[in-house]
Amino acid sequence: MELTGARTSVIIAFVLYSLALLLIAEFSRRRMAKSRLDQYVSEFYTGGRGMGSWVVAFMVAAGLCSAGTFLGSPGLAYSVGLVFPFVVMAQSFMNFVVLGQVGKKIGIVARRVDAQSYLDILTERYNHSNFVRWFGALAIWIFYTSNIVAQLSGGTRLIQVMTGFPYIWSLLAFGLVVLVYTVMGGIKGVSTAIFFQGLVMTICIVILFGVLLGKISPMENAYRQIIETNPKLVSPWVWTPAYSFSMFVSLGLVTIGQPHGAMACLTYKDTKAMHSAMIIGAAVVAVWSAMIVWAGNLAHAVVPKLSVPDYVIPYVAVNLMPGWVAGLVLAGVAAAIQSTIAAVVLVISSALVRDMYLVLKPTKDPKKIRRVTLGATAVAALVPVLIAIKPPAALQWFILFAIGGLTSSFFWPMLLGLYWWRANEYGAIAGMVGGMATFILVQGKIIPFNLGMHGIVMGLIVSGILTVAVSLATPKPPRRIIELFWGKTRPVEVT
Amino acid sequence: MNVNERDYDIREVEVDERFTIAKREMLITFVVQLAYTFLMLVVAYSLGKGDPTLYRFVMGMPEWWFWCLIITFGFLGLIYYLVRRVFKDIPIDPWL
Repeated sequence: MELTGARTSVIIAFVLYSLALLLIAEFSRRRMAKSRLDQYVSEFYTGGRGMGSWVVAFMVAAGLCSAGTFLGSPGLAYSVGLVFPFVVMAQSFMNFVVLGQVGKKIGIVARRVDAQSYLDILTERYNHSNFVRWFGALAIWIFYTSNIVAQLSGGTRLIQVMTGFPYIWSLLAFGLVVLVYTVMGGIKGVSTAIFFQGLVMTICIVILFGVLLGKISPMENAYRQIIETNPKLVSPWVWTPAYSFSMFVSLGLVTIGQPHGAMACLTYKDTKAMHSAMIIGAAVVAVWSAMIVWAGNLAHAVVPKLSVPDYVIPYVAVNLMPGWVAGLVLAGVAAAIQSTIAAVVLVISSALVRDMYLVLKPTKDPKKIRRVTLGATAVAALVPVLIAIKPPAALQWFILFAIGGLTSSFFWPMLLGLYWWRANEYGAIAGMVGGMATFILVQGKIIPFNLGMHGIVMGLIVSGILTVAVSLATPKPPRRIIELFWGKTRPVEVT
Repeated sequence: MNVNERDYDIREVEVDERFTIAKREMLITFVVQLAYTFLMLVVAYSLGKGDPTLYRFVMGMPEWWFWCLIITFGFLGLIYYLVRRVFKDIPIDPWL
């Protein structure tokens, strides 16, 4: 693939972009230095619950839109056809879906139980069950780390071909920048960076799409030409309606099963900010997913034979557009990947600190907690960078199951936990384990029965049934939990 | 009252009405996203039926794709309306 054009402008754009992130890191470090030591953890993970609408909107949006949005999805739009941009539209309203489904409930409950993470909500709801805690924390660490490794190495390979830097240096530059601003600034660093990255992504997508439309116009001729090469590229019937439905479910309806997307529910400052974040985010993501993924399909009219479909967007930018657009596109890809990695690193870090370290070695010493928090965040970010130097072959397996496995596992226990009082820890355990196991077995084709759909649907069905049935067969959750998650008055502990 | 007891009558718990609002909005969100899903599928798979060489085009796009974009913008408007007019601003302090 010829991606070496416009090298100078690409390098300049990448360096400028990375420098901007380092500035954000320094700026957030100063802000974190002002926070009181005893509130450090809360400032680090949830920003003292004072985030405004734009930051919350971009945390959901850019956190969830990853390497897939710029590389994988346009690639599939190029090779599978217009059906792919069609199913990606399912994610358009992710902000509305995530914040609408659980935003308010988590917002209030998190303030009641002092929850700093997604898992905190689950463990509080499920009676501090050690199984829920450990299963959740380990699943988050293992699956998310594999997912980050995949994104890191995908992004790095692109930087390598576009700039000509060696793989290892590209990786270190790319990965360590994230490490710096996450460790230095906690969620303040991450959210400021995500806001900046969201802007970069938006500008990049709009310009790229505009220039591409100019190149291929009139569009009808372009489409006639694509149909002539391969009519399948323009028909939704490449996939059965059932399969497309399952993609709509997986990309849209069940997004709260992904801890790094639902994290923003813990941070907004009031419902006004949350409501605005829903609207801003829905508009932004609808534009992103329509334009960039569709562009992958449209590109067929100008570059009909690509060997690596995943690189369709950078290829079009480098070969058909002015040099500065190529630079902007690399910055956009980097922004999409790094914003997701940073959000995920915070989720891993909170799981390591709050669900592993503090459970094994409880301490209230704020200085020590601060040290552990910083250390865990560094570990969470550094481990994937180290693995990405030479990703082991077995990793493919984890990557394949990462996001679907977490979603099948967490969706029902989270949703039912928040809205169905009768759900208890036994049901949650059954649902988490059963959902993940079913998804892996179906998607790995060990169970041949998938209803003609993506494995996540079977995972969700089994998980939902198990959570409900096992809860009903076992005792009610303790009254204290009902008071915390539904009650009007604070439960009084009997001593 | 023993707060850890697991044998109680759920009707004894006085529910915070903010959670009733939250539940109502959760259901609205579900219905909207599901309606979007089904509308998109029905439109795409009915208008997109048949041989692509015989497709009709609107503004240069295959007809089914054009209408999917329109539906998406329609739902953006609906979401704006729901969030601004139907969803309620509530205090989020832990206890009122």
